[in-house]
Amino acid sequence: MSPIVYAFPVFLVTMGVEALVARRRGLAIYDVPDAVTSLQTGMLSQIAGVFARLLTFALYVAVYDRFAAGTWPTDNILLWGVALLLYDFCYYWNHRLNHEVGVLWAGHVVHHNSEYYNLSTALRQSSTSWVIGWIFTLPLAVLGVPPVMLATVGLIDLLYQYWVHTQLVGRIGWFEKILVSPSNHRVHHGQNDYCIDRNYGGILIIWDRMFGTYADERAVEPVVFGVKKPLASFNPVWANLHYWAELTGASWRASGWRAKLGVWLAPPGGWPDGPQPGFDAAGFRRFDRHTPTALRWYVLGHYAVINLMLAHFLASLDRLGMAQQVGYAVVMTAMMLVLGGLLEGRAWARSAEVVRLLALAGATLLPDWFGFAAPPGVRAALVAAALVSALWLVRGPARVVQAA
Amino acid sequence: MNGAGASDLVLALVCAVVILTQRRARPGVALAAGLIGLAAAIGVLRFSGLVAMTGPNKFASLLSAVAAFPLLAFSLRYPASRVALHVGAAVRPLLVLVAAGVALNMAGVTAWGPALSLGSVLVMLATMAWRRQYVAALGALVLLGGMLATLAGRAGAVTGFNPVVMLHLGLATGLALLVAGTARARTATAN
Repeated sequence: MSPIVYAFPVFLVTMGVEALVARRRGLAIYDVPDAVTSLQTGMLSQIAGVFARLLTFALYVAVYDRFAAGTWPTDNILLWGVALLLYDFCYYWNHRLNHEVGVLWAGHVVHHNSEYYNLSTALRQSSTSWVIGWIFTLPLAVLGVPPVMLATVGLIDLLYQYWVHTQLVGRIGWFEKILVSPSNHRVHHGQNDYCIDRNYGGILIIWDRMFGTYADERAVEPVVFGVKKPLASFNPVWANLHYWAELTGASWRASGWRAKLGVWLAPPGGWPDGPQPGFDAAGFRRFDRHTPTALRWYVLGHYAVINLMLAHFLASLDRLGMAQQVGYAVVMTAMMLVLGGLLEGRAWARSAEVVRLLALAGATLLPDWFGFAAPPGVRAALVAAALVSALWLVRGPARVVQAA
Repeated sequence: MNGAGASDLVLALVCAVVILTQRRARPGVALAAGLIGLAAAIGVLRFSGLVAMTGPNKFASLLSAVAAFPLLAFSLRYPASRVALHVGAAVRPLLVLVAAGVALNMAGVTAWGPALSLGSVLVMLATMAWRRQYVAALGALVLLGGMLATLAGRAGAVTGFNPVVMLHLGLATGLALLVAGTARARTATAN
């Protein structure tokens, strides 16, 4: 079973605590539509990861089997430490190039297009960064790091980065000099001029200090989170695909094969042509569709149901055939699309949501749900929840409008 | 060290000279030479009896075939391009070339590497001939000859020489002539 399944409850509890503490301190660091979008992109990345790993992990194993200099013993704790260090070094370069090369940024931008910064941002992960990202682990394969060691240190590196996505922790003295911290990672997520292309480290920040990409957080210039060209959407699929679409369009419009290819390899936004305009913090406005409060909580509640489905999906992978896995993934993705549409106030979303709820109620008549035979009580509760939700939607909450 | 190791040493030294002399003026060429030189340096260790280096040597050779030669060809074909003139730009196509090359190779399309490197050498040959840079064209011709002879030797079509040694020496001589020939032309143009 994916170890992430075990981390779900920890994520949810810690996000709840963070939101409560922030509320007590009077800090507006959470926005339900933004947080739900982050969580949904995280779920989508887990779903995509199931299929992507078939390819990327197979490639790692194939390179390891054919080209490894040897095999590292897995019973030596020191070697685990070295593997983590090497992985973190490769991660630094992968992450740095994710920000510097258009085709890699297309995969990574999703992690940065939240205009808030909280623990949910950590889970806002890409579904497409694997397309080229897998090559950065190949040095470890050639050095002889066994696949199980790679998977473990990769997970450690990823999980470490969860806690640094918060505004509730300030500077931590000497810690900042060696390790990635909330303060230096906030800089990484900023769109202020001094934040651009800084602080790429995963666990160790020393790589940034070594390679000249380090920047300290400035007390006099608060970090403004997000990207210069905002996503302006709560759609988790579009969050993953918008930059790919932009690159495809730009490549299509470019004349000559070199220019067409060059679009994909240029830095995000293209090669700088003369001095760039500075960032105007005063002119920055967060994306807001003024989603009614009731609808926000409605979406959050239904997101929780999809989250349970995802946990079931990840826990059941061994028992599901490929067709069932794909089918289950499509169902969950469609549900997330509808919830994103509701948050955005899309005209089609309310009808689609009613259809989704009726389908959910209808699904309780099936003998089992991808191998899960729910007890009658759970089925009855699901039907009741779906019908009540549908009735509430049909009566209609306040109209969702675009912010002025 | 056997003949393959000695010839790899020659290739590694030629690449080192190319890196040292071209890193500022032509980083694209230097980066390509760096990748080829890395494979050669690991090859020296491998053919000196360090058996563990067999896999890394083969992997680095694969990277040379699928990425270094196309980068070299592009940098020489378009000497005024960003890829040729800035290391930050030169590294970008390498990412895509490595990803495509390794994925195809692992998928069993093993002809991709030789085809891409042969195609790159043909581009270099045509470019140098078109520009009447005869020393460089001779270099491309030597590269082509070395690669074809190696392929023929490995297939058993031609005997009497060690295909690995032939490849290393062909690459070393061809690369030296290519870089020297084009550098001389650059100097002449600048003057």
